[in-house]
Amino acid sequence: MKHLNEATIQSFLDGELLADEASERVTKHIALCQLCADALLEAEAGQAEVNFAFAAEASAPVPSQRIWARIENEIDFLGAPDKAKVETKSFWQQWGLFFTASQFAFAGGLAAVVFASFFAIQILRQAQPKPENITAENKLDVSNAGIEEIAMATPTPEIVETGPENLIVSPSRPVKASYQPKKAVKPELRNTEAQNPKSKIENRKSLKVLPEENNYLNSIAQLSKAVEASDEFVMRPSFRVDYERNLAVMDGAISAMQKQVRSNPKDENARRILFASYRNKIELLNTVAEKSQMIASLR
Amino acid sequence: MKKFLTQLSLLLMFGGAADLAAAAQTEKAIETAAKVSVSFCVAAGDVKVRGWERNEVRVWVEGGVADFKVKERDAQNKPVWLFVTNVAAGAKNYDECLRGENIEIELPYTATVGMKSPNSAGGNIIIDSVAKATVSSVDNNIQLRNVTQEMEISSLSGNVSVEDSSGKISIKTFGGDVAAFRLRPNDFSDPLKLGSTSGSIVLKDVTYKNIEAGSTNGELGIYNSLVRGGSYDFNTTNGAVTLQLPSDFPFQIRVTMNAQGNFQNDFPLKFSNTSVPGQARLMTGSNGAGDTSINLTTFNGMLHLKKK
Repeated sequence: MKHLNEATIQSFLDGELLADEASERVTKHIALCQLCADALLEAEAGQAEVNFAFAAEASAPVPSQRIWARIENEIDFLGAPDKAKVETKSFWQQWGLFFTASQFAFAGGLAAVVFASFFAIQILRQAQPKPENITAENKLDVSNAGIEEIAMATPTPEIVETGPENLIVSPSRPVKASYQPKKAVKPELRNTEAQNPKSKIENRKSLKVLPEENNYLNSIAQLSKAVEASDEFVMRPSFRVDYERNLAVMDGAISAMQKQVRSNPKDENARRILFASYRNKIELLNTVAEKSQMIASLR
Repeated sequence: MKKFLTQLSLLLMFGGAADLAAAAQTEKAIETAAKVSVSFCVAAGDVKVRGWERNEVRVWVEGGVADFKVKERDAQNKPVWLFVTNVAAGAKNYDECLRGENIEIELPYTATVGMKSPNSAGGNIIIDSVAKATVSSVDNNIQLRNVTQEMEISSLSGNVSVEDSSGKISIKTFGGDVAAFRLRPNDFSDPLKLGSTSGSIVLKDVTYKNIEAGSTNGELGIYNSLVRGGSYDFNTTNGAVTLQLPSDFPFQIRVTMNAQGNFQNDFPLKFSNTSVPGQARLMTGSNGAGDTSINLTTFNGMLHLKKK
């Protein structure tokens, strides 16, 4: 069995394997391959650590938001004692009043610089010649923003089995050893997402392992290791045949339900069956691991 | 010729010694506290454990040896924790496990039994009339009767039969079947948990309010085993579930199954079906105005709600 490489696992985690076939193949492979399931868990744990480390920073407002928050607070503060008067002033009078407040001088200046930079970039962009071979597929019309944007036409990542430990994406998307930057998604899909911003979030969610699954997957990974190392007496051939057969049935059920849950994470029924299947698998692995432990303890 | 005769005589001598050992019997007894815990492991032989009125533990091994190791005593210096061991065997593996043709242990009714059977001798284990029993076995057939407070059974491929017992019960097997008859809780919250991977599970005349039973490939048969106000959870991956209930038994049911699952129902239930073709389905319904809750879940199996 060829294993998934790091880049593919990261893309899967990031929800970037948007081609149904690619993500489905990865899901199937992970359901069957303990090594890759472990690698997925490890990658998830790493991601969780990074998220946790940057949680404070990520949740804090960015500088411009901070400034605007302060500005709004100050406006409220200034406006509160004589609100009626402020309301009677014209728009430009209010802005004049705003810039007379010394504590806002810096913020106002910064905002002006930001606006100036924005317009300068727009002018420069328009001055640059547009590529002639832009196809209708590649050209995106984000009409509500009023800006034409050229999407990076990234081909659908293909899963190619190349060696014992590599399952790589297509050559047009170079794979780095340890980090795969997030890239633009398929143009057609992106168009859909532009029309329906929620769909992108839904798509990404649907391809990820549900948070509730993590405990089950962790338990299964740990118990599988214990069973793999189990006593040859417990895993004698007659038992192993039965064990593998039942495990295959469970894995088949888990894989099918994972597919349904990934495609619709809100499907409570599929989730219930999936979690019941996880529990059954844990029970099986636990029984075998316990027996192995018992035998080892008595030797 | 001389050499041959020497060899023959040696063979006869050792063979005779082996026969003598096999014919040997060991019987030992020790006075204990009423609530004594007795632990032992068995490497070979059929095992019978039986409760009696005396505050004494007696062990009898046919074709083997046994002795007691007291691990803990109470204030009256009576053993409260006892190991029954094969001290004289000195075997490499399962050093302290009992071996013999037949092994019988008698102990107080209020005793706790802890037993392990770590090899595949395939003998039968019978435990009768004790307070608590914990059994971990590879492929013994296990039969428990009159266990009054608690039992926890775990087996790889042996069958498990439990009768006329009460209290908290947990049974799990990999390939064995589980049969449970006439079980009752001591407390309304006592759970009955049963699990088998490829074996079948049958419950009959059980009066627990809290039952969880699951099988991957085996069948689940639940006959006359639900009580009003209870909460029941049965699930299979590929196996069938047959749930037999009296026609006037009030209940609320929740059936969850994948697209391949099959549901048969003999009751006049009105289901609210949230089925979407090709996807997992949920059906909820009720019979009468009861507060008994039944959850049936299957991936690919058949669920049958049957009238008695």
